[in-house]
Amino acid sequence: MDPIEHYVNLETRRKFLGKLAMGFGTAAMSSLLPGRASAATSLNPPGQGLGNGMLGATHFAPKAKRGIYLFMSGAPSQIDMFDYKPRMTDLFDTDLPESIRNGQRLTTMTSGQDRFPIAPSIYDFKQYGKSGAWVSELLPNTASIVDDIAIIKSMWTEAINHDPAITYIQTGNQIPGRPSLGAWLSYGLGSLNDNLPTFVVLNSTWTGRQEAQALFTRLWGAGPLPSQHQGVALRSDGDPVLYLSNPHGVSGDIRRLMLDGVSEMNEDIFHEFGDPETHARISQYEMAFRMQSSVPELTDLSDEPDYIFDLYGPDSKVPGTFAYNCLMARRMAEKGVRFSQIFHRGWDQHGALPKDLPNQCRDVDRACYGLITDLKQRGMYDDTLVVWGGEFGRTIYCQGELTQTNYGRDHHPRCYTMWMGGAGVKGGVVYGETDDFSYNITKDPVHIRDLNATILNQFGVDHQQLNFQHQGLDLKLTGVEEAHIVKGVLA
Amino acid sequence: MAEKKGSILAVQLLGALCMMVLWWLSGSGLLDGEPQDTVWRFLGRFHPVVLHLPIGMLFMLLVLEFVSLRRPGSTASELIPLVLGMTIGSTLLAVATGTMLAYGEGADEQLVQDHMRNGIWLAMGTVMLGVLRTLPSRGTYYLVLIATGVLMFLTGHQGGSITHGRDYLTEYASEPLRRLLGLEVEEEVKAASVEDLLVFEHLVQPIMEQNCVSCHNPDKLKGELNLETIAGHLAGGELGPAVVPFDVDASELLFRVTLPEDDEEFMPPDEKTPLTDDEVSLIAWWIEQGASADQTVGALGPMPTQVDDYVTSMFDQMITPEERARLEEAQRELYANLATIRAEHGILIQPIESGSDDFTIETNAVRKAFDDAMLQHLEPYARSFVAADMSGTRLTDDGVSILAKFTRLQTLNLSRTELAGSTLGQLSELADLESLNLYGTRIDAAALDQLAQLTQLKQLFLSQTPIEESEALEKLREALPNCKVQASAEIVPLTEADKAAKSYESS
Repeated sequence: MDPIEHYVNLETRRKFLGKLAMGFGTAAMSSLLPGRASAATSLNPPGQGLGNGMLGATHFAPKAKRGIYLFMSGAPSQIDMFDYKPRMTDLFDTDLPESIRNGQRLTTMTSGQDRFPIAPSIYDFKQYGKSGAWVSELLPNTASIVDDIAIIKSMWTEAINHDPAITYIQTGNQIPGRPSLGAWLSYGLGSLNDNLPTFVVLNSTWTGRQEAQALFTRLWGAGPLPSQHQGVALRSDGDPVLYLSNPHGVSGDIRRLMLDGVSEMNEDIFHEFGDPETHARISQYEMAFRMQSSVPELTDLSDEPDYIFDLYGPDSKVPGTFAYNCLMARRMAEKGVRFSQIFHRGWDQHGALPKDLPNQCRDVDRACYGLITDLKQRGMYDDTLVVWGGEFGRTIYCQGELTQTNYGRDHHPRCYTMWMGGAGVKGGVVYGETDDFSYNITKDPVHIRDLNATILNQFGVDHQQLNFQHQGLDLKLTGVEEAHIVKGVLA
Repeated sequence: MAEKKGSILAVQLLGALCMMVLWWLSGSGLLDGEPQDTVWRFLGRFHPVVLHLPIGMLFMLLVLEFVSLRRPGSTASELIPLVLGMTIGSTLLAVATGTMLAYGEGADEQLVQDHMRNGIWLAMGTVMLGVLRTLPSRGTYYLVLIATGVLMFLTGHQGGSITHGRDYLTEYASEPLRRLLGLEVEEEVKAASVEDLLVFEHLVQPIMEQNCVSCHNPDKLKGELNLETIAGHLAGGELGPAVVPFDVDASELLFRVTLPEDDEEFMPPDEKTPLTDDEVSLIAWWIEQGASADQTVGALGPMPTQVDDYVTSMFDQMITPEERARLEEAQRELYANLATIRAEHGILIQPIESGSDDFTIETNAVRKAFDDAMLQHLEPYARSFVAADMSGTRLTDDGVSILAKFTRLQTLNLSRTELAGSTLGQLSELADLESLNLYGTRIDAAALDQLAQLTQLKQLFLSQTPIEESEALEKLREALPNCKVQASAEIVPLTEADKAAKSYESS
């Protein structure tokens, strides 16, 4: 939309809302796809004909039809899991050279420390697979799938504390309020199955340190996007969605009748005020109605054979565990949920890392192996993108007291490890390098916005062209800074 | 009277002398292709300044002779000696400057040689006219005058061709006129879609015609390079082949057009318009894919986005407006028809990318209602689909005969359906089919013969099917050596760490 025309239309509230009611879709669309592309989109306008999502169709042929994002909230220690640094053993309890720290901003949890003694990992590393990727003894199952995933050792971010960092990687901005990755995908690409939510969030129980960072619904929020694109968080205990079933004495027919009545009234409201959120509400009521049958079917694991539970590990029978959620995520992917995100908390090992980290790793290790192996045997790994990782990494230097058997690690944004697989991602790749201290990146840095751009790319979306006009800005997941597709991990 | 006789003799002698000089010049082989001292080039550049004078004068002479023949004794005849003299003088001057220009600039192309020879003959003709005019009989004079006139048009046209290019005059001639003149008629591009365009003929060669061929043609052969034909590209010139198939870095052509514009070696030289990024990316793609002479866009490997966009825009320009309108209408109709199917039956149909005519089928939302009969709704558009996910639907072996008509499918997911596999051999019709997913179906050893026919497959998923438990799977792997046959995963045993989980104790 021409900004001047837009301004003129703001003249009166009513006129503005009227404009939104009639021309909202086409205006946003024309700004999304300039030139030749707009001629093409006229064939599949958003929400009409063959048009799915706001883009109508993907910018280019997608590799990923759906995605499963395994989010390790709290920041897993790359040094104890993937980023093998054998030279650190000799430097036990020596000071981190200033040339390595190089003025790095520290959190207030360690900025007051007298010294920064190096704490080598106490875990054994071995090389696995044809790729010879190094993996620690904490992840014996993940080690068996290294040839199916691309390990990125050179992730980095600017944020040094959990909340800004997790908000950043989830929404592309450290300041809360932007749409999350899943919401962008829902908004841009639309649903694969109208009976299920497009974006589902699953929160997991964990067995490591129980004092963990809180998660906020805004991490899977829609920001200023229409609110039906926010993630639907399924509960891990009891009813997955509260108040989904009909109240006692209310039949499905009565429910339908009631919803039709409410829809009619909402349409009246919409015609009076023209607020698109009214339509968001109508579509959510309708979605809830369809979910009454589709969600119980989704969460009823009785049709899963025993070998599946062997594959995902014993936890997969316990509702709410990470393994259970991985199995759920696979079921959802199979039934047409576009994007699901599993949050697993408790990775914030400031102290007593050797006590907590093994538990955390056990929570996810078998399940990650199970998920990828299961997707592979079902032929779903070719078009399902799997991403694993947290919001930043952990320091080589010790937080608190350092002994031969005990140490803690502070937040470290300058380098950390994530992995991704499936949907056009090359297996058996170890991408990027860090220095001997796992402190600075020495080769192929990947900023979190590069990762987000790459994820969108696998879904057939040009990150530059998926945007939303809000408060005078063209919001994008990757923000205003340049983002690069990480071609080195793509087949 | 004696005075007049004397001057006539002088003219004849002078004429004979000129003829001798011109005769020598025409056989001198002066043009050696080497650029010369600047003074020759300086004087030579006056050639375009003076050359129009003899053309005008000779034409004037023809008019005056014609008028004085029709009306003898008119003032026209009085002007003839003066105009004739000026014709001779200006022609000689044009020949002199022209010779200096060609010699000085080091031009030696065939066209320049021909132009020079004709120019000299033209000068000889005019000198002969001067001598013949002094004779009492005029018959020969008129004959030579007409011949000289004809030669003037020919020579002038050659000169124009040197500066403006060979087909300058006729470039925009209408098609019937071009046929009449025996000129090459541009073939209308007969491609029905972008994929049908011939990469070299329709895309690469027009770029060459536009930017390179004016110097690198069989006549001019700058640097011994002829870019009019594919053979010329491959043969190359002084510096080796211009194009090396599959090797962008070794291809001199690409190297020269991608140099910095101020580089001495940059092509095209001087102030000519450089190739655009799009054009360069197209040529690079064509070379990467083997610099084929006659393959279509569709037959060559996948295109980078930039090339794709460029090729599409070129196609839009090449086809006639009527054809474009027809194609757009057909596409709109296809989209509308598929949208109707989607709306009526809840089958998710999506173009693989914006604006594409290739579609995917997704039956997730309606899988419990999707049976063999539903396939019939899609059948009329069977060739529009390249991928279909019909997992978990109620498809049976009977539906396969309809699926066999979806001949462009590349991936087909029939996992968790009722399929037993007795008819799967029919899918051998799908030549492009690379991936077939039969996970969790009832396929058993009896389907071996059927599956063995699907030699085009690269991936076949048979996990969690009865066939896994027989020897048939091994036989199938032997029958399909190029196909990865995926069976159920071998589950690695739980580790000690896994057994330490609370859930393990309780299970």
